[in-house]
Amino acid sequence: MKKVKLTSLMLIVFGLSISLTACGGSSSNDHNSEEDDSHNSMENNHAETAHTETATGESTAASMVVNHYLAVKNALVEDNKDGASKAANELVTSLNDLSKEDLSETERKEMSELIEVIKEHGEHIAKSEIEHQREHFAMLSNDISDFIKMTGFDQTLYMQYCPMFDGGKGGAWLSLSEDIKNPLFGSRMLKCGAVKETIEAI
Amino acid sequence: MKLKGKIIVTLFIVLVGIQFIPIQRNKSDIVSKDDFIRIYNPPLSVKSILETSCYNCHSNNTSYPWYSYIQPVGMFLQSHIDEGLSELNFSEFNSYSSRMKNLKLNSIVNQVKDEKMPLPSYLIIHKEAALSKSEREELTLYINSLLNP
Repeated sequence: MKKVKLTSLMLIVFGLSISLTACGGSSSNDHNSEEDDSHNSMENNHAETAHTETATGESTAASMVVNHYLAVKNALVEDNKDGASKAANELVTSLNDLSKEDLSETERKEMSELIEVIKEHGEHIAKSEIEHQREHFAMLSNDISDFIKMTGFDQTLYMQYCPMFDGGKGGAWLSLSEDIKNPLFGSRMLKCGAVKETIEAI
Repeated sequence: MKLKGKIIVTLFIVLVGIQFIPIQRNKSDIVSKDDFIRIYNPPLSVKSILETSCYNCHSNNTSYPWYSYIQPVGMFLQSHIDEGLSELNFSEFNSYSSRMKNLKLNSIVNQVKDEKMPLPSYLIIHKEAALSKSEREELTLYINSLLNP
């Protein structure tokens, strides 16, 4: 009996350690640790404000949308189609938590339209092959940038731009780090791009 | 031998039976006030490309071929049309928000340029809907010109 208990305890510990390593999988890459940390801190904030339903709670719902967008970006940097798909699903779900109560009528309309297109891009990223994911991600980046203009974001973001995307049409994305890690090409052209604009934290 | 006969009879009954399943057909004689061609009035060549290669699945008016009346071919076709319509409906185009219009226009360009549209499986039967390289360029150039900066 005692043996059985001990074995099951060991199994639980083993299982826990696996799930923990799985969650922290990417944090061993130094370039990600910065963004991962901020993501975690965002989640903590969310946990703290979740009960109070204050204005801070709302701004956090908006930051979660941006955080999921950044998770899509990080997956595409790593050519990780499944990761991008998972993050895109989370992005779509997080849109449901947004409240439009404090917005004026025109802002509310604009926000509804933004949510509508972010949702559509998210759904397409969730179900597509990586090339198509990237096409939608490039468009999504512009909409997320407009979204941030409305909601603000509590960390500095860098709008980065690679002129080679889409046969020379160019494409932009947002990043928490100034370093260029190109999500539109991934490993094929990781370093292509430059910071085009700095969006200060609000 | 007897079993084989039974199977053939059953299959026959099923095949005849499904011919009577009603299908919601996508057919309207009215050109909607939100129709893409009506709103933007594209050059004749672009209009003709849209009508021949896009509108069959992406508007409220599908011209159904004779074999679409035979099941299960018709059901298969209809599911394609329904899916196409849910992604993009030229008949309702002007009802989209300007942000959504931009999304759709960009997606049209990407899909046409990548030769994902018209669907290769659709082109096997509808040879007339196939687009030449210059037609693809003409269409994407025109659609790009409608994008808001």
